Amino acid sequence: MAPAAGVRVWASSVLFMNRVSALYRFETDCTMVSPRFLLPKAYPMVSGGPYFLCWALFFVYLHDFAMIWRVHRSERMTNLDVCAKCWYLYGMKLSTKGRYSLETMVYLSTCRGNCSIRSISEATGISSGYLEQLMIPLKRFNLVESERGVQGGYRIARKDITCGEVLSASEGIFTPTPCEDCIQNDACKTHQIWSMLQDTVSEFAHQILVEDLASHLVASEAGGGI
Amino acid sequence: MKVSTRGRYGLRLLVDLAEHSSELPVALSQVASRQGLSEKYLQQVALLLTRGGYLVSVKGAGGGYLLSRKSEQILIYDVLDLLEGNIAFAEIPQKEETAIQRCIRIHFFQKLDEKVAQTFEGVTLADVTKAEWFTYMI
Repeated sequence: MAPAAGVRVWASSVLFMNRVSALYRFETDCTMVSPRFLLPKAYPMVSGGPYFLCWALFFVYLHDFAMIWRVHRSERMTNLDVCAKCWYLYGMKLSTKGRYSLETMVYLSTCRGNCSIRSISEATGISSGYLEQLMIPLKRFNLVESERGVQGGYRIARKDITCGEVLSASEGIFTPTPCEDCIQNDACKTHQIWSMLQDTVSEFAHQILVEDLASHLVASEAGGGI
Repeated sequence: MKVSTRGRYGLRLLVDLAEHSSELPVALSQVASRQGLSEKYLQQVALLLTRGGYLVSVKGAGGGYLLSRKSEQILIYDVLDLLEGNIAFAEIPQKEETAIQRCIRIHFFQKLDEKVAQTFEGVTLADVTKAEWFTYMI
């Protein structure tokens, strides 16, 4: 027979606390080599003089493998069809294509039913020929759904679409500079600035929902503040 | 937004000067050979940085460029803003801006610019040059 719910909760909390205190004891007995690596003080094999050098060498090798893996990964990521789903992790570019797609998506999320190309074109001022082109990648990444017929048109596929998804679907990889495949990548100190910029932009874009922008739009139109 | 060669090479020039800083000015030909960039182009960028008040040029034999301030006092964001003209995502609103464009500009691009400025707040040239190679470890 299973113990009562209260007993189970109590037991799990005791186990958890034990775990935490064990972890704490372990940490106090360690030297911090790097933010990610703790070295136990008690074991001479690990922390004793010459052995330490071996560990250092080991880390150099590890670093090499990390580099190899990074290069391997970046090569693999260029194959966009294979990795279409991971694509958005790598950010986006910003040109009129992305800007127009974003406008289209914001307009589509204000609509209740299907929207025809013509009505989108009227609201956003984008030509219908260009809109048809913009819809192709959006449809491919399952951000919009289309329906044929008299009542047909485009509608938003789900509620939780982020701006980052829209931009990366229409634009592809956002890289502020073409430094991605540079050989000096690891030696070049300015490279970290560019990756910082890239990370900031894509992280932010993936936090903002298209839905929120649409609600701002509706609010501003209701208030007459166009 | 794309960072042009001017922004990239300008930053590399500053980093190089900060790393090889001494009392003596550094000739651009040295920087060019170390960084593998064209000297002619570096001259243009250096002129821009001199006008912006980041570099001091020294004339004559043994002349070259010096950082005008300590590298701890040079903010990367300001340098990029100077070199690129403007590193904002939000474009200047046109006359016939639609409501949608306005909404996206205010609630997305301007906030994005704030976020970028926030990230780069306090990041100086010294931080870039000090970076350790093993930050990539593991």
